[in-house]
Amino acid sequence: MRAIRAFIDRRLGRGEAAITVPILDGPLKPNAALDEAEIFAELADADNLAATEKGLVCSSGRQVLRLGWDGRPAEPLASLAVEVSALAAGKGMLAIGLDGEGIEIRGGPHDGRRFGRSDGGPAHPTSVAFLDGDTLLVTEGSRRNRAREWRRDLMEKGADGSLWKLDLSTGKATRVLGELAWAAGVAPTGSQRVWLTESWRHRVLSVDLTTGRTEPALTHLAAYPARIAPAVDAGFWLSFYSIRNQLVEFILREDVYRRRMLAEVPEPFWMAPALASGLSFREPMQGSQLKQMGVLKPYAVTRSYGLMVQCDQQMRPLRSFHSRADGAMHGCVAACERGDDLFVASKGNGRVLRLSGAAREG
Amino acid sequence: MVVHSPSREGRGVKIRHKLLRAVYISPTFNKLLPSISTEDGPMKPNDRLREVGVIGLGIMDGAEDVVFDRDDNLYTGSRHGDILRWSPPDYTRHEVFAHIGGAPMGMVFDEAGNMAVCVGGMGLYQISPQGEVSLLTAETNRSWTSVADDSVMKLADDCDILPDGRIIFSEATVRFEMHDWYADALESRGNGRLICYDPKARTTRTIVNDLVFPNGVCTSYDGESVLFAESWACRINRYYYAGPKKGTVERVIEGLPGYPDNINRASDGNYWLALMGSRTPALDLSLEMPGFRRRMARRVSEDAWLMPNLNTGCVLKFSEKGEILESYWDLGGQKHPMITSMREHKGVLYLCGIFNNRMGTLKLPDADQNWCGVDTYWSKRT
Repeated sequence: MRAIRAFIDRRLGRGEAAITVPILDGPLKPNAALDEAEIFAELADADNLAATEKGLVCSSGRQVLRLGWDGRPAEPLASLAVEVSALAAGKGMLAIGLDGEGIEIRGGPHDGRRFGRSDGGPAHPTSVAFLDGDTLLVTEGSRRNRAREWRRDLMEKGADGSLWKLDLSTGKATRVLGELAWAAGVAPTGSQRVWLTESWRHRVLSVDLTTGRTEPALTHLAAYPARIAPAVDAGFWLSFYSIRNQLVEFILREDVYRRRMLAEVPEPFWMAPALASGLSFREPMQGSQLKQMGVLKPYAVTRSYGLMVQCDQQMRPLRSFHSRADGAMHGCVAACERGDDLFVASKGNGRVLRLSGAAREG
Repeated sequence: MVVHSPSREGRGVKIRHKLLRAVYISPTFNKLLPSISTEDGPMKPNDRLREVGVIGLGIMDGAEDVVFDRDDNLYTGSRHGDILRWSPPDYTRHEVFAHIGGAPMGMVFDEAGNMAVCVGGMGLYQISPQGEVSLLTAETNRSWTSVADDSVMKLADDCDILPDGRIIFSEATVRFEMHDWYADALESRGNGRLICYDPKARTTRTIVNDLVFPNGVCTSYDGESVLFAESWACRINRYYYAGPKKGTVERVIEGLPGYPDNINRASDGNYWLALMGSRTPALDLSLEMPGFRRRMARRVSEDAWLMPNLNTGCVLKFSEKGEILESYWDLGGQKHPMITSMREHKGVLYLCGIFNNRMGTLKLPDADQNWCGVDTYWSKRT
């Protein structure tokens, strides 16, 4: 019966076969706030922000840097063998996610502790968060694909991501949840419940760490959720890889084209979401992206987008900051607060943005 | 099959488009040849069109083509169906030279100074030097193999004139109206034709059928052929109207890295070609998969359809033999996305795009500074 229904749905474009994309409305109503924000720093591949007393810690490719609050030049903190795909600062420690290798702790009582596939832990971390001084939460986007291969995982319809709990004292790695369609972000709430983003299913889950039970908290999102950063008022900043696109939804249901594209077309030219777009004349273009009278319409469909959403303690969206099709601050996958200011890393554009007062107004 | 609009109201148009998409669009297999390299050689991208002069900023609207008369007046079409005349030397003043209606596109002058202009949705028109408009032709002979009557012209696109006064012009597609041009790209089918109008006999005959969006037309310097572009096939062809190969079609350039639009003469004996957009690997792949494109047309909003990368401006120069000599790019279409035509006149290359709000001027310091295109067709006025 189910097979018959699925067949009819595919014929008629209903149910799972529907390619409709939710619109940005209510608290997600578009604006140009990210494009209007002050540029705090220019940094290629700016990612993974963490606020410390001495400065803003962020990653750029294989480097971990500290940007002084007073605008002093970036100071290198660590240079790694592979790309830094996740980062958390806390309790005098830095937890660094190494794309393809695992997790490494620098500083503090657990200095030098490593977790990798050989220890039965995650190898492709997408985000890390301290649950307490001895416990680390880690999301692994996919068992097969590295964190930077998120586009491939999406277009392969990957669903082997996982959530991990790492005990820093004993070195024990516990898989809390598996078979996630790209676990991209995790945030503790002060209890045994944590928030978890599952990007390719466009939702945020509430996970009970003791039982592993999940409940959807935010579903049918119009974009692919990425990391979650805590806000000072006990709310959260939800970041996104990119916005959903009707043609991508369609291609995800066109398996022959999708597989051939993955196999034959070079990755920068895929018809797939991206952190940045318009970099090459060989990138795909969609109907409404054609410049008319010299203007690219802000509401044109787009493969890359900048979106940062402020949510309350219950993960309900309150307001949002955007960079639309005609903007440039796309691929905003990391954020952190300091005082009244919100810092956002636009990985797509290689910029760290400061939204003055954004953290206060919530 | 013809899909009629149920009413002239907005809803009617909407339903018509939905119907078109659901039942009418019929894509075909159109595997393109591998693209000429853009990694190095003459097609290597550059920013030579980034810093160009500008004419009619914010006034130009729908200038698909540009042409000059012997007095240096500049003529363009407009979205409102006008032919605008811009006055030298700085082209800041303009007037409505003639009103036709439709979508004026390719233009050319005959020996007597009359302008022939292709008008999308209407046919081939003539405008006298005094600005009087007359219809030359709007119908050609019905093809023997077509079930539907295809004699009426839907989308006359570009024209050029032979030494004996005959006008050869392209009809891009017989299946779609002007504003559905992109549906024809999605089909990538041989829907277009090359037509010849003979002003002496007042006859119109189709000379080549089943062309894939024939677009730019340019009479060759060789005195026996006409060059024409097939946009969705990314190639340039030559049709012989005289000489030993009379009546045959030959390929001149194949595997262009973009979709060719208008072709015009250059002062050095070569030809200018506008690429309206560049090929993208994702679209090239879909051209091999007609079923994918048909379902896309049916289910995906037109706003999200896969298109050529039209936000890239590119003009190139090629020789009589079909060698690409050099190219001029505006990557990202900062000022000139989707260039549909260009015309060289007295040491300046004028660039226009049907959806752009300006005309660009690129100085060509090495070109003949007194060269006027009309003089290469007809003996110089003394």
